[in-house]
Amino acid sequence: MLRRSSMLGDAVSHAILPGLAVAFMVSGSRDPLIMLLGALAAGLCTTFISSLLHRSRLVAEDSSLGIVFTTFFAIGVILISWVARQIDLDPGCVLYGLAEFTPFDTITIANTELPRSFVWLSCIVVVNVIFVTCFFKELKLSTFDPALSTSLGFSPSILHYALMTSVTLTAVASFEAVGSILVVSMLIAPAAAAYLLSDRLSTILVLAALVGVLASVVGYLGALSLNTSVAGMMSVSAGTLFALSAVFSPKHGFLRKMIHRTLLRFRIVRDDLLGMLFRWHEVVGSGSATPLRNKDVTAALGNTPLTYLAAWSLRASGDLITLKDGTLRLTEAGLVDGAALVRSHRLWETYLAHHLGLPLDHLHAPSERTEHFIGRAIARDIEKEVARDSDPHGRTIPRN
Amino acid sequence: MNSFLGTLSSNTILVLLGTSLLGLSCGAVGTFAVLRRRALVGDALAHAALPGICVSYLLFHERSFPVLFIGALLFGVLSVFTIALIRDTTRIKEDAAIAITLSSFFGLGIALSRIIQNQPSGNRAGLDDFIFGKAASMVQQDVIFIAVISVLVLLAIALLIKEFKVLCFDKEFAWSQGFPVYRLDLGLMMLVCLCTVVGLPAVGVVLVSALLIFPAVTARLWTDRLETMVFLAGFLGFISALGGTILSSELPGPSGGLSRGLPTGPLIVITCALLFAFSLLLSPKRGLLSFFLKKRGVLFDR
Repeated sequence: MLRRSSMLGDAVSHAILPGLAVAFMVSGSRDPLIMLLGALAAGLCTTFISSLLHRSRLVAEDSSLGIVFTTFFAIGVILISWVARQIDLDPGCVLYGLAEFTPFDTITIANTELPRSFVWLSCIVVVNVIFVTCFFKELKLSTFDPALSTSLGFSPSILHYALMTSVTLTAVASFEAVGSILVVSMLIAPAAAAYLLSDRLSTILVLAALVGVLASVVGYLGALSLNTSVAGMMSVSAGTLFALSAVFSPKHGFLRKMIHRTLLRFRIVRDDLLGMLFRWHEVVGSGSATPLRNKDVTAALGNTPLTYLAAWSLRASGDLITLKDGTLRLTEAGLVDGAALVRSHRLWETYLAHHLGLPLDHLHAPSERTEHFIGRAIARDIEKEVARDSDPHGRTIPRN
Repeated sequence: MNSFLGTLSSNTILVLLGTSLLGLSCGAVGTFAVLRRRALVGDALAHAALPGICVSYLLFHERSFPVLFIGALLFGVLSVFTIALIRDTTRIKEDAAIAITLSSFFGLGIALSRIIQNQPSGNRAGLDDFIFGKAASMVQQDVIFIAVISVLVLLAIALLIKEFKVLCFDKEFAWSQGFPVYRLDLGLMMLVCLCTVVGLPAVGVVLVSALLIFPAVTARLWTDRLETMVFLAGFLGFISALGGTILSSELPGPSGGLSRGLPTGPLIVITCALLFAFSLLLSPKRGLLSFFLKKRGVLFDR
């Protein structure tokens, strides 16, 4: 997935259809080994032809994949309808997968009866694990920096084809049990979910495998309880797991981003309220007859829960403002905090005007955004830099 | 079956009309999808339509095309939005977003269709036709429906060609000129969605994306101008659909008993592929033949 070739699994699993058909035509039997070889050949052909088309720069990558696999699939459907009327080789089978029936299709190894696809899949799992562990470093390098890996003497293209072979092998081996769509969801969804949960490639690999197993188990149970297709439910559960990790991931999750954004907005509204009260106080003086009314505040900052929450928190945490008879006033502590904020704002305006030469009417908007992020230390630095008592509009910069 | 044989010719004409109109609009829309590097979205859309078909069947117990079409369209649109949502709000790239959406939706569709099958009254024969496509079963109503949709799609392209052009070639420029880029992009996807869903019963889930991509890619080999490319792609789609349908009704079936043995959808795609291969060899500018001739010095690069 990191290589941006997510759709390859999908393409390969569709494209193996003619391979199966040809293998059947040639051998005349449904021997799994021959079928597997045929499918593998077709899968590799797809990968090869589409990357050839792509590299010739005549066709974009996704389009080349799209045309190659659909052509293969079309050939496959025609071949199957041509030769295989009477035999049990159903394109529907390839697409849907028949995970339910695998236990009945058994093979005897060392006197134990095992489902045939179980044996195949375990072999593939072993091969894949060996491949990934042996070439982990090389794969990592060539995924993130193909140029460097070439210069170090690894051939990215050989590795690329090796990886694609392993993808193809996995797709071919699993289609019999689970169908091509599930192959895609198993290849991509767990990897994507893991990618949202971690930044380290090794962690992602382990997590992806875990998510894959979890999705299979949940999907299987879901299918049993609803009496429906196992493959279908597995891909639904893989998709659901991905959605869950997209929402709840501690690092990149939607929820975290939303909470973060809301907290920031809350802080900004709270700051704006303080600043507004301080400026009002500056103009009319304390104890005057015209205090700021609640509805003035909601008119300026928006009549939203966030504004009320901000006012409440200013009052509750440290008594920065008082609320009386529908009016708002700053307390002594509030005056200090409000001064700090307005100080940041005016210092930044001054800095922009004198060091960047911005015109007067361009000063307020950026400062309105920056004021929330200028701490005490930065404010002191800016003050040293500008060395002025008043801002470009002629208003005093408060000191603390 | 006898009465069916009797009406073969008029039925073939109907099917021809339906598929060729489909090829025309798919080719034209596909041009933009390919240029926007969204070739595989059509594939995702086609798969995602399956649960929509199942849901509308479960709700209405009706198998007529327009009813299923609406369900399919709704889920297609939903999948477009899902892909956009994943792409825009997480750090997952578009191709992975497409793959995840495709497989989850299609899995849901398979699960639902199995549930339908398990119902006592369940018979999903008509639903299966949507997946693999059965152009031969088109009736007059379907063809009229396809015609209406095609006209709408072509009209939309004709009206918005300038907007789509900037969108495809220079998104940032379009943005700076005040074009509603995001909405245009969605609109384009809606057109792709319409074409895909309307093409499902004719060529099936897997192959409808070929009908979107092939004509555009082939046309790209012959021309550098967008307007020409749209026309050419539409024309190529039209021709391939026509050719494939004729082939499927003319070629003898393997078992001999039925009037047609080879499915229409795959034959249309094979026709597309042949046209593409032909162009790849012979295109004057980008073809392989002219490439080798230039290399040998027989032909000079202008």
